[in-house]
Amino acid sequence: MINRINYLYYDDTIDTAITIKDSLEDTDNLFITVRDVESWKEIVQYLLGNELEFDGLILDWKLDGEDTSNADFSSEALAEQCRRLVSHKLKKKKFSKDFPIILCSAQPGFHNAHSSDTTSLDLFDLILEKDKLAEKGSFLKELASCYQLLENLKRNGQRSVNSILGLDSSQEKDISQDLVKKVTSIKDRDSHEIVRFVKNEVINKKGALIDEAVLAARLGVDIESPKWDELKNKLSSCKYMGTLYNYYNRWWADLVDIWWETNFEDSTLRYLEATERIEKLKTKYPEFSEGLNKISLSEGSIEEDFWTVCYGLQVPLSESDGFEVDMHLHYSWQEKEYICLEEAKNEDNKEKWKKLQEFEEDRLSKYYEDSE
Amino acid sequence: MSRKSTFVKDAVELITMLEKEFNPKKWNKKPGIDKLEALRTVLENYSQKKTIKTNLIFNSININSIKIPDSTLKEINNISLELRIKICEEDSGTETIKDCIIQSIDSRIEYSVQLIAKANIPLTKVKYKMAWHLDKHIRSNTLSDGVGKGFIHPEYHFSVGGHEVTKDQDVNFGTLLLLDTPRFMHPPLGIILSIDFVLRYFYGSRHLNFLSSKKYNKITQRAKIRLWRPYFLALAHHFDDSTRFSDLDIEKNYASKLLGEH
Repeated sequence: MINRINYLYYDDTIDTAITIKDSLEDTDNLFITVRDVESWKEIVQYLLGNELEFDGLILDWKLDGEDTSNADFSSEALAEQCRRLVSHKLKKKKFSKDFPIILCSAQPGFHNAHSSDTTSLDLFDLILEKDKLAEKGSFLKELASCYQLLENLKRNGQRSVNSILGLDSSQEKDISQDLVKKVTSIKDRDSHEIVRFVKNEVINKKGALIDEAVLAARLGVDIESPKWDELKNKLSSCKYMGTLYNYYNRWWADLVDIWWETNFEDSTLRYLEATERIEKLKTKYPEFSEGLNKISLSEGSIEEDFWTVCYGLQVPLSESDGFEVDMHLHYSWQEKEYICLEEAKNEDNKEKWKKLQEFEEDRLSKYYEDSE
Repeated sequence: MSRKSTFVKDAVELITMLEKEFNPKKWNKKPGIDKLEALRTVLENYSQKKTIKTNLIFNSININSIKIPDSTLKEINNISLELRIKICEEDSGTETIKDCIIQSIDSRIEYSVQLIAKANIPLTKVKYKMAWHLDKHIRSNTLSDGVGKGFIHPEYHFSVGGHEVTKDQDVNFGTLLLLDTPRFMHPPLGIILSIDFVLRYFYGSRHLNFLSSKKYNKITQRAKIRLWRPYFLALAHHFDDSTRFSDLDIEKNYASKLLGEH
């Protein structure tokens, strides 16, 4: 059955909204209904009365931007009300389902202004500029589908760690048990809490899950190699199949390690250098005798036990060569980020990594001594 | 351009490796190494010339490394090994040959590496204990401070027993007559090398992939170059008055101190 996803989009500048609607609807089976802003009472009543008609909500940040706007409230207040109506009745009425809420604005960098008030950040699944929203069709579709799935699982009493993370019971034993415990503790909460947690603390943090660039780094293989896709397919059993997996390509790092141990005579992937990793792949799989190229070292690097990618420039990196970023990790399954020498010197993406560990500053200064 | 390493970077990397190897954060696993996270925090907040004081608890060491009568061995349980380290270390560079264990900005020279093994017989009050320590003979600048006068006291030496055992009222000494132990010369152990010492002595072959990995060996090799190269070059120079070490700046009296000749 084809799953049609429909978002309601409230904006007081209808023309812009229509343009965005058109771009978003390029995604198959994604539909956007643009609605003009109404008063608080009307809007809440409409949403409650027509909840079967939409799977998600898009809100303009400043609903009262135009003089003609009927908005007598903020988007944050409306989002808050919607979240509340999922779990609590108000005048005997509530939503029978949870759904995604997106916040957007035409004003560049508005989410930085918005991030100074972090209390309302948790309300939204996504906060972004309108031009970026226009390109997010496939994400919006996957997001709403995930909510539907999580809501169905809840209704049928089948929501579990494994259904949220897309694991079978033997895989569950092999991943971080802290993560399993954490998901167990939140599995019965509202869908938006689960989606937010999985997206922010699992998918978008290196550690339990790794993306394709890190996967290639760990196998020692240049991602541009002719046979990279073929090699990737060999690891399909390690692929992440949980919440939002259609949008985010991720692999379970622990399962990749175990896959390696099982296939390569108990050797430990982490302790091998790229040449050894590729040599073992070639010996085991004759089809890879050609077509897998070794990663080349980035400037100033000498270690070939690639394990991560530069947080700024995305180049493959050994943790020994990389400079550790000073960042607070929320959970034990998350890993530290590193940057390469070039990024450390040029600081092109410093707004992302902000600060190095103190001991790395010491080490970095030694590279400058060399060139003096 | 060669890669730059520092002992803090290497030690942090070693901790990351130990966390993966010994504490895989899974249920139903044997206890691994405790307090790694605390040591990581100490290192992350390290600044030059600061004394590092830390301890790690190694659980589930190889039972074959306990040398006591079999009849007793099978009764005891909860064997653990505590590694206590107090050190202030400095990278001296390749041309300067000097003692890299230095005085910290906030105190005199403090250095010790202690290994304390503990075990008990469950549900009884019977406790077992043994301790080794690697000391540095702390002297005044004039090289004579009275302590240790009259017997060989090499700058860095291993001892067995010591106060940890003799001052502990809970330890039953059995029938062993323990003589004061010789001070065995031993090159200094820093954080990395003392962890390496424990793993190689007390874990045996169970972590062979780990101990034989290039990554691990590069880290320990660099630590030896930092701490052991000066130690052995100073000794070699002491016994060789030719000019072959003329390009090195060697600390006066370092070798004599190492040999306990003062």
